[in-house]
Amino acid sequence: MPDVEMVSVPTRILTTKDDIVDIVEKYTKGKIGENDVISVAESVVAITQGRIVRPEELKLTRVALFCCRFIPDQGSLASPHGMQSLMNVEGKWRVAFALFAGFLGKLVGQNGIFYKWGGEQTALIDDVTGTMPPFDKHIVYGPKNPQDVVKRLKERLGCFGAVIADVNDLKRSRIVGVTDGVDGSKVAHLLIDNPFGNASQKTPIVIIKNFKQYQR
Amino acid sequence: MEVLYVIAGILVLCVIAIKLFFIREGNAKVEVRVDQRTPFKMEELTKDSVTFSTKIEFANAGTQCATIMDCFVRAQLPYEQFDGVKVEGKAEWDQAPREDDYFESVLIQKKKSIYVLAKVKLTARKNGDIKETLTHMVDLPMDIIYLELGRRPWKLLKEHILLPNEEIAKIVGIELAED
Repeated sequence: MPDVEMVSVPTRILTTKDDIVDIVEKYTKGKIGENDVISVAESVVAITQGRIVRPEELKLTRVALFCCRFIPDQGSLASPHGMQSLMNVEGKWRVAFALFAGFLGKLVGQNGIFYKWGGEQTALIDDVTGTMPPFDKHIVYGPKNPQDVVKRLKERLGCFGAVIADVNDLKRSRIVGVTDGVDGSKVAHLLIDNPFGNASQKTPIVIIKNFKQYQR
Repeated sequence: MEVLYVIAGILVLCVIAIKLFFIREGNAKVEVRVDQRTPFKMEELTKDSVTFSTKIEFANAGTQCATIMDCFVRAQLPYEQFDGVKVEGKAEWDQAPREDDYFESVLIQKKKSIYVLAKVKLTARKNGDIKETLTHMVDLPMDIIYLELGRRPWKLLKEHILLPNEEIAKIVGIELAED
């Protein structure tokens, strides 16, 4: 059985002018086979979808200014700008309610309620500094319709499957979108060492060679 | 009626508890310590240009993380005052120097500092000889402008530093002309 292998694919910096499927096809031409899984970094998919905003463009509400104070210092929602960007897409009262419910949940030992009830973007938003330049000065949302994106990737590339992954150097690896037939948890495990690289490395695409055989 | 008093009392207690929580958590407090900057030193000298730099501490004296999203050096030398040099300023984080004049957003953890190199390049505009030109140089004021984020809305702030002509002359090894 051939070994599973990770192939990082460097690209130029992708922007809102790019289509992620076209880009992945262009940069992986001749490198990807029918047994492989293509994985794409979540923030880069979001950037190509235009899902970014600069803090200076946000109109901060008092609710965002208030709520962000309850998020631990290191979190992307700890700044009023990160919190406001979340409220703009998920609704400010929904987020505020989820935060309050999360607080009550913690009192009785129930964690994660805020992220569960606050909307899918709650865990996906990256505040400034969270992405490579020139997007380090932007808040980057999670991708829109990730299931649709991975489906289009698989169809265009003719590979075994496709995933959108949220991975960082702190050993966090999460699958945001995955095609049918691919075990997302196995892909997440393979990506745990962050083959995308961090900060200024321009490798938003990783080909997982021979994943089909590995998964069996 | 008593129920209303109880509810009002609970609300007041909640407000007090939240206020106390905010006070205990505190906020970021960035101090740009221009008064403690290092003396200017010469980075590069060519026939027609010279580059000086000084290191400035950006300290977060607060209890929350701060972000410096941008920083740049704005030289304030109009040609009305002295037109012998073209002045270009730049700021760079000393841990991640860049040649593209881009300031990458950086976090300052609570009670920690980063150091920013403020650089200024003077290029002779008229005679191609920077040493000769600088004998007529005047004091060079500069603004250190930075965009700060934290638990509060973003702010564009600035600090002021001065590179006196006597210091320039001393570093370059020239004598100022009597203008």
